Amino acid sequence: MKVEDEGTEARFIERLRARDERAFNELVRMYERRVFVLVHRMLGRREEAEDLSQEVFVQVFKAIGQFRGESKLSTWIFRIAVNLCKNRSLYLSRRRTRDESELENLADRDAMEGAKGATVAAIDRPDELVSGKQLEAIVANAIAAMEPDFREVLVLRDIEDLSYEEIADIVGVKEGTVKSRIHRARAQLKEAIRQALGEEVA
Amino acid sequence: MKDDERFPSSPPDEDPELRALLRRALTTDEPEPPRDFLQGVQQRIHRRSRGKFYRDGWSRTTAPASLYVVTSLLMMALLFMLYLVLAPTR
Repeated sequence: MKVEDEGTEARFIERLRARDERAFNELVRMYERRVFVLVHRMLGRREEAEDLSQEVFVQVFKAIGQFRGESKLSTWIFRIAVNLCKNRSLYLSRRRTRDESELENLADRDAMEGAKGATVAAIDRPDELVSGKQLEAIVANAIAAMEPDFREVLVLRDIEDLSYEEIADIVGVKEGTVKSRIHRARAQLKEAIRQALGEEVA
Repeated sequence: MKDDERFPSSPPDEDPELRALLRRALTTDEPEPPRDFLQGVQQRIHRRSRGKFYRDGWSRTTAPASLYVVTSLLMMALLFMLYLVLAPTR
């Protein structure tokens, strides 16, 4: 089913509000790919993306009664997805920090052993340094390392092709802030590429 | 640094090259959602609602309801024809 006009969407939302399970099946079918891909781009891990994108629809099912129709249904679903991604990113980065500090403790205890396995070479073939695949990998890594606030606006704008207004609605900030974040995210990305290329070439 | 609104009136630089690179990096090998995605969502809702939602096959099926109606009508028509053929005549 396609929600083509406002009247159709309004009727569809009424069915969802009435907890019509078949209407909800249709909703999941309509948005599962977009939500899954968005979440995967934000988190960068398939297992996390599978888990979290299903969770997005559980939250939609729970909260559909609170949907006031002030924004498009898709925008509202994206907002839930982005918020859950932000929380999960924070959780994952905290867990990573904890794991790293545990690793550092281990390394301190056995510094020589740790040094044996250390490696700094991320790229195996310097001659293929700027080949498309490696450049793409550098970009993907830079995106993954970016702060969630910057990553989300960059993905929503440059990959999902959403307008500044829609992004502002999804993220819950003013349009000016969205523009500022996009500007800074792109600057960070350029700097990360420049550094990665500079370091690898040197 | 705290968010500010340094670019309130003009859009940030649109850099087509960077955008294209970003798209290539994030859209190549784009994964598909798992085939049982919907079933996963249904199971979660069923569990969290303590069995209130998605408790029968009718709510979980993804086939259109019309398929079941048409199948039922065809079966009834078949049974009626069998009755006409096999029913004892006087």
